Amino acid sequence: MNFHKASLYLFIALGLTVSSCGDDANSDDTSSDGPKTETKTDPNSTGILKVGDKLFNLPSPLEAAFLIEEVGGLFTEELLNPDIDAGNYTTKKAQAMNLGIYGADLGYSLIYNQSQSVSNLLATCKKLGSEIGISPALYTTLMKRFEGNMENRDSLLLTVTQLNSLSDEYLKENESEDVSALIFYGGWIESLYFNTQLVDQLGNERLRARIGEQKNSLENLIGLIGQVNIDGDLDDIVNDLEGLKVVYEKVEYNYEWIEPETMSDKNLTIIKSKSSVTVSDDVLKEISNKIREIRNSIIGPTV
Amino acid sequence: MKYLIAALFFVFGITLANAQCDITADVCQKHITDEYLSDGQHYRVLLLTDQIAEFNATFYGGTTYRVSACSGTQDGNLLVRVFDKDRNVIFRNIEHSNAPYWDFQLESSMDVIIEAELDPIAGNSGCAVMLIGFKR
Repeated sequence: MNFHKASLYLFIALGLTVSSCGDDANSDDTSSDGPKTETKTDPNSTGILKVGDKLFNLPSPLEAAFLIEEVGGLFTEELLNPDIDAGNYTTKKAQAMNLGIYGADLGYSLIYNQSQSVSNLLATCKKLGSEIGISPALYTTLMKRFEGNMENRDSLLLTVTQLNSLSDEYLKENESEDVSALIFYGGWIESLYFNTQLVDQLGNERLRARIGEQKNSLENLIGLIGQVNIDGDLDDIVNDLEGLKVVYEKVEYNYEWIEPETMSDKNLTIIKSKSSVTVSDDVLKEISNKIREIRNSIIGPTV
Repeated sequence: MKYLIAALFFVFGITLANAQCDITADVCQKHITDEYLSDGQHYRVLLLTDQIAEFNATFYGGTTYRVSACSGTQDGNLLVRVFDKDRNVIFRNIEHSNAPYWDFQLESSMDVIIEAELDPIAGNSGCAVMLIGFKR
């Protein structure tokens, strides 16, 4: 932890101590800002200090697996990491990345009700998670919920997402943001590997578009890895992702802003803006090859 | 001696900040109801007044997302704004009583920027937590 962060924690702690009485203040329509009507803002005109670290979101591997199911893809066991063995990975970096890979395999297997794969993968995830510092208690509690409940897919999916969320929370509480980022890196690569391997076979335009739509997620991933690459240990990953970005720059993206519709009574906004991506066959092939290459370098046993 | 006192303050600071984040996370989590699957990520940032946390995400067409954003020990302490990549305003929770969660239904995929800052009424500093779920 650097001095700046330490000072911030201390400052916040003192601030919380002296300002806790104000914490329960209710804010509603009477907020001093009041409703505003402009529809576009200039971030440079606010003069407000931005927090140094941005937050980056990556799509859940489950979203990719759901899409494969939706477009009619069948379960393809060959897509999974063929070697379900936590013992293959002996460094923290390899363990974290492969926890992401196995986590994505777990979600994919779960969506297709592959109970044997699910069981094996969950045990492997528990072992890898323990190696990188995630409390085994998190897995033990959730594995108990699995037992006797293997046929209830929705419940199991909920359990897996809770496990992922709790693991991420645990890692961030313990200042292991680098480990968290590596897990998401592995999960993202594996999800994109599924899509790129199946897109030709299924010939589905939605799947092709989803591959192209990863352009922004790739930017987010580079940002996320860059934040935790303090001492250069992840330079190889940054280089791989920058190489992939060069290919992704050939993906065409079109976007048209349309005013959204908000329904206050439903806490809902319908976003009507339109977007489309165009991925040529050559670019798709380049992306597929690059993803396969990165994925193979992750799942190879630690040497 | 002064180093010991500084160290104690430091440990106290971390413990208190983490404890507050945990409470805030619990407040936030209750809005990601069972019909939504968490994206598995847990976003937290320590904010002071006038600081803005910026969050970059891609939402996919045909999906409904729930964004839950909280600070402190109860709902309504965080101001949240959602923009598209050209910074057209999609949503501001200040126009909806500082709603602690909101759903976004997408016709096409799009990149979004989410900004969060403390409502000055709620205090000078705090842990902001954001969670995202998606509906199948």
